[in-house]
Amino acid sequence: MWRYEKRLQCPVNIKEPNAQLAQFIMSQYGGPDGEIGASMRYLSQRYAMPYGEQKAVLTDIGTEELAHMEIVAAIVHQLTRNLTADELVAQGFGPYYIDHTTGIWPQAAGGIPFNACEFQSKGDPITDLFEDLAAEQKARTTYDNILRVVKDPDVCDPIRFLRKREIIHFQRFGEALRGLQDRLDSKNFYAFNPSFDKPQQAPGSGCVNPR
Amino acid sequence: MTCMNPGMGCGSGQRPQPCETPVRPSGCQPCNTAVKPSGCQTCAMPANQAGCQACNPPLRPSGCQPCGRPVNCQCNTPVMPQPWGVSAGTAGSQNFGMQGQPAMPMMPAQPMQTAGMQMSKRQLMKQINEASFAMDDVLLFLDTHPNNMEALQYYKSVTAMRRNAMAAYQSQFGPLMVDDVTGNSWSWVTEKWPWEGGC
Repeated sequence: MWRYEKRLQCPVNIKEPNAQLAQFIMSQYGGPDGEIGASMRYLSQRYAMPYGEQKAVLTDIGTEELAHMEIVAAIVHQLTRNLTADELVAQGFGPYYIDHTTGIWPQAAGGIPFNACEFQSKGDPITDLFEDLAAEQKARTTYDNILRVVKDPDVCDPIRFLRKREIIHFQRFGEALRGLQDRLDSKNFYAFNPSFDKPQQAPGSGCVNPR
Repeated sequence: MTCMNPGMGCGSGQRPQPCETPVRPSGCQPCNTAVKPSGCQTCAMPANQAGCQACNPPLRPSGCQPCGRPVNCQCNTPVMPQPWGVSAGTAGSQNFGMQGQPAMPMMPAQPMQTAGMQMSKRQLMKQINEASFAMDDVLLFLDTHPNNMEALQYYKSVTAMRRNAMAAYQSQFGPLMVDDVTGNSWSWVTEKWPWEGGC
């Protein structure tokens, strides 16, 4: 269950519209390493987590990503406010404008629509947590790329905030993975999938617990 | 908090990476600027009247918790330390290693009215944002360090601050949560939305 809180996690108050920047930044809404993918990934993966610590991390980070989605959408919205069609076209926003006016729609910077194939939910906690670690780094790289082209402090402040959260999340996922591995067979983390196999039915073990 | 030098400060490729983040909050503008081509020495200087030597990225991580507050974002820069997070958001391995032993928690500015003086909408929202962010951050830390009593204590104090600040805001300026609509009209739809600058 979720309830909305009527505020942004990090305020966004952009004074100068810039549709070209909006085109770039919208990738962190619906692009391959964007916030929607992050949230859906974590919130989907939690059901296969065997222990409370991992379920909590995925739930809480997945929830925070929803707030990040809203921050990115607010940035894109404010960057495209009060522009004429001619201005939008001149700033490279023409194709998006034709399909969506200035509504918020999840797509990558290059126009590719959001697709659930941008994340996995594999039903194997080690696999999923490694994906989550990579996802945080990919998002951090994207924010770094954005920061290289943003000049407006009103825009770069919330982008920096989001970038830093990627780093914190990476840290927490690392801890969650370590906590999981501490509870597995230290000689063979893959002896069984703790969210699928009963230990005595481990794959490739002739139905005998290898431990 | 704004970028002091939009030209360079906001991410043109030339700024040395370490300069960008750790720096600022209140004293450290120059850090963030174009300044130093090589490693940020100048960063530390002008900024640090107030003990912020450690602002200078090379000098951290041990010295500059207060200065190195993670963010340049106004939502958590000036006041909120982020004792539970990777300080300053640098991806440096030193920071990574520090995670298990968070620094002494520091509190967000005390929410609430100062004696007899009502806080403005803006001030209250700032406190809500700060206390809430402190909560957002410490709760992730607690997820992976559930037995850390110090963090739990910190959690309790920031959530209390958050509750108080939210109650004060909602009683004067309209609902933040949908179960906090009071009065005789449906104010949920009439107050500004956050993406319109409502917060």
